[in-house]
Amino acid sequence: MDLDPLYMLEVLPQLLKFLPVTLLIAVASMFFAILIGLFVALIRFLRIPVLDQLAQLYVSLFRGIPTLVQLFLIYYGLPQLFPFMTTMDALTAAIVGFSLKESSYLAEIFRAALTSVDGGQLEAGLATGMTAPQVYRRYIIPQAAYNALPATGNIFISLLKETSVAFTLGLTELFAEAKILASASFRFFETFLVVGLVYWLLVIVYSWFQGRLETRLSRAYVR
Amino acid sequence: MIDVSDLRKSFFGKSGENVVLDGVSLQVGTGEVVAIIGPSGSGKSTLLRCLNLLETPDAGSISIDDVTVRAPGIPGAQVRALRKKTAMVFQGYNLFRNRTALANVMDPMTAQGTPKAQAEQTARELLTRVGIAETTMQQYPVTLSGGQQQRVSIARALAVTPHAILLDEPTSALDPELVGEVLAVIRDLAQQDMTLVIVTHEMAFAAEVADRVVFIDGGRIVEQGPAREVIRSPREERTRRFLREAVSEPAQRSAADPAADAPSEPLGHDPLRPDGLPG
Repeated sequence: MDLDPLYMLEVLPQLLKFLPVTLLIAVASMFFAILIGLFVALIRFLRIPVLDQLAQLYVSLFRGIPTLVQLFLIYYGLPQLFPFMTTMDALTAAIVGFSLKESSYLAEIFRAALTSVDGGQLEAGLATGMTAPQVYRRYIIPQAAYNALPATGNIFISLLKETSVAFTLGLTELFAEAKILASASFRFFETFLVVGLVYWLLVIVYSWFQGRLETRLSRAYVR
Repeated sequence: MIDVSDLRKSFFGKSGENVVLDGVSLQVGTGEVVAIIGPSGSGKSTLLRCLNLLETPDAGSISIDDVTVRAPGIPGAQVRALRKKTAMVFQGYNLFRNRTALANVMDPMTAQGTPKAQAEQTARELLTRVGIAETTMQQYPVTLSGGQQQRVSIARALAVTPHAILLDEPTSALDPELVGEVLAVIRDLAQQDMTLVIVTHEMAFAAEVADRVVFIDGGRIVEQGPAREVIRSPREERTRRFLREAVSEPAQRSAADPAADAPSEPLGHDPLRPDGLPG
């Protein structure tokens, strides 16, 4: 069997140089996706006329089109319509694409989480003279966030791995670098195994942090 | 002073219009304790919830202290102004789940701009007043008993120094052994001349604590008067019938063997008894 464990050790530090790019795409996309997702979820939850219909279309569109197609539309397609967009680099395009896609999933998760918060919370806040935005900020959104945490974590985990698709935009992140290294050394199995393990480790580390966060927050919700 | 005039409210459902408040007028003096009683669906909770506009009346006017609103079409600023005049104690407590007991009482104050240190000091005093121990103050509502939660919610209501406190069946969700501790706190409030409007099923408590009892049925005030008078010797037949049923409720629940129960059952002659027992 032709397996070179030593090569795997050699290729690891080379790959890790591109870990920051992967993390940047994942964390930045998740940040924007949470903001957009919350905004869309609130529109849908409060059933704001017209905006609600637009929000439904938004969710349907960005959940319905494959990620790769979305990325291509943004990076290769949009500059054709809007010439000023030719200056957009691949990193920006990837972050925009992933943000839009994940926000559409998060919007549905957040909407369900908002729905599951007891209506008595809003009444209690209003009855003490708070404004509705105050009640949302202080109680409803934090409680919904706790409800949404497990599903949101799943979205982040899947995003973390899906960033590997960004190589198609010519962006050198973890997986793109693995491809480059593999085709130079012809050590395909070792290289891809190492990069796979790196992703796996990332997910394990992230899951550990999320588990701790869930335990900490659950003090308010579990007897 | 609370002055409610010709309040009307309907809900619209599958079966058409359901008139819940059919022209209710009610005055509550400052320092007065008013108990609202009546059968389920009579409109008593809706009346209470109209007082802080958790329900929007279709017509009528509400004055509390120096704020007056007139339905329909109450502007948002007036809604908040009226809400600041009262605080509400809910049947299901409705404590803020993501906040500790102490924070639950502090929040209404900090939301209105009270400095945190001052809010915390006031909150500790209020919680002590309703019998919540120092160690319990740091706990989240989910870890508290129903009685503790309802007492925290009374402290939270006091936090905004309201003109009146509205209590919507404050003991109905409690286990029987926890009712007493909550009633004791409400009794204290009544003795300290707090203006209270209580929707309740606790007739004995209403008779003891309330200055006045208001009986509502079918969206109208049927009878009102001094608490003992209305509960002991009601003038209206509908009030009498309601009180008979309300008082006999526990007896009915234990009436698994009607024959054994009948001799000692003073209400056995009532043709309107829901269990249809012969007189």
